[in-house]
Amino acid sequence: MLTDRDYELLSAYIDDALLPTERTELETRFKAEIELREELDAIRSTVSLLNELPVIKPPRNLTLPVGFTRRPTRWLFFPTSTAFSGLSVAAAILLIVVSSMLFTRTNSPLSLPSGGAAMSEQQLAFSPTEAIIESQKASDEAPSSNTATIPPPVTNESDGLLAETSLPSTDAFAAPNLAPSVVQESPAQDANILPAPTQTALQFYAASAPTNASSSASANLENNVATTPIPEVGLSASELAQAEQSGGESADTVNDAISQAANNNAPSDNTNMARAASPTAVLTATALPTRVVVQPPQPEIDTRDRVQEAPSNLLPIILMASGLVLFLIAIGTTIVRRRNS
Amino acid sequence: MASELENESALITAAMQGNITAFNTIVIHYQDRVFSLAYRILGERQSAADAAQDAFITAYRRLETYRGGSFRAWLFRVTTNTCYDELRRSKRRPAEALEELPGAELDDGPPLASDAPSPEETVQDSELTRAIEDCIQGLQPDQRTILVLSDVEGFSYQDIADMTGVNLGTVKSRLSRARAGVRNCLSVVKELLPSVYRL
Repeated sequence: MLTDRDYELLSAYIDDALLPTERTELETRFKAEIELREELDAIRSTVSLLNELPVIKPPRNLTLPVGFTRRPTRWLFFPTSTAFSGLSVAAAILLIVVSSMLFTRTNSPLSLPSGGAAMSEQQLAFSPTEAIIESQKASDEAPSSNTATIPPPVTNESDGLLAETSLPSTDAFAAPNLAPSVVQESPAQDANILPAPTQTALQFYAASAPTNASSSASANLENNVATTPIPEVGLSASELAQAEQSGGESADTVNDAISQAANNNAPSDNTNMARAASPTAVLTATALPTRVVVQPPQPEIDTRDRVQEAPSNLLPIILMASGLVLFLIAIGTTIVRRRNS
Repeated sequence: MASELENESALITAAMQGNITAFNTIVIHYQDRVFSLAYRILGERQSAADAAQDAFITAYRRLETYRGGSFRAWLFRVTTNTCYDELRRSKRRPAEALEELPGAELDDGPPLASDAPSPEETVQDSELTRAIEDCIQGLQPDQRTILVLSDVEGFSYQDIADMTGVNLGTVKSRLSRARAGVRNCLSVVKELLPSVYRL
């Protein structure tokens, strides 16, 4: 039984395409193997028959018409080289990838200008409405007072960003017993470990403290070191009412009212500090049993930013569309090239 | 093997400059061989005629890619590629050949004049030729192409490798398999073979 290798040798032998050594070996085998020799004759006859095959006439004349031109009329001039198609595909992929990345970024809740993910979570956790509701509840339960007490003790939550506490109601509104040194030794024991927003808020307390500080506050200083310091900001009843009324709009308004009151009462040298703290520390001030939410610095996104985001959303769409067009161009040029070839 | 065309180089140069008459002279010289190759690769007259026509059109438009050497080999390479394209197209769109439809045989018109053998020889030759052609068509397209280029058209291994884009070893192995296949096929119709060719 002959193998494929034997047929290859026989075929090459007929075409005189064997190496001399192979030829000699094969001829030696011819003498010994009758089947191999018979197969050689059969294949040689087959090749002869194929050589005898006649030329077939075409059914029609294949000459070209006289007006036939070498260059086909192109209805659209377009480079159809392989390099052009390849570059188009590469550019299309690049554009699509970039546009996808941009699109993901623009639609991501983490895509804030600064502050990172923690800040956005803080933003989500903050609910001015909640603060206002709590403020209203507290004002209903507490007796009317001219004092708005802002609790300084900060209980850091797990993320250290949202710090809140409840403070016993007090009417010592006009006598804040907080000194800067007290703040520095708040329950966190070390203000340095507090998140920056908290520190900013504490600076605000510290700035407002001297405005109403009395000698009794200094006298209570040492006691407050061991206990929770209680910063207080003096607000008049009308200012508090105004703050509460405007609290339906946002906690920032309440905060502004508190800051404004502090500024009004503060010496001029502390005004700047209070103003500096005001935009970065959002205080959800309640009437009396107050819940203070120390808000980290809000990313500076306002409605103007929102309006400016609209055109930026168009960019990935435009890039994506451009990528798809380039991809179609690459496909088209490939088809045209293959047709021309 | 087809004889070289006289003044072939001059005709090619003229055709490159857009002289269609010069190129048609080349077409007339090669059209039978080109059509035969296309027919043996494709197995259908109409498709082969279309492929041969396309091959000539492509050759005329791509004359600048001819870098000298054997113009016949270059033209057959163009024809082979055209036939491969046609095979790929027919695989995507299988369709019944027109000549297999009733009455379609009238479409081709009378055959072109040739040296007419006697009726008996014609019958015998046509049967033998048809048997061989059928055996060739029974091969796979890649084996069929190499067999025709080698044993019918007489090209060398290297020319075939250049035309088909495969290496020499592949050409040898495919050719040996194709020859063995045709040999086995023809052994079934031994009675048609001349005595000198009895397998």
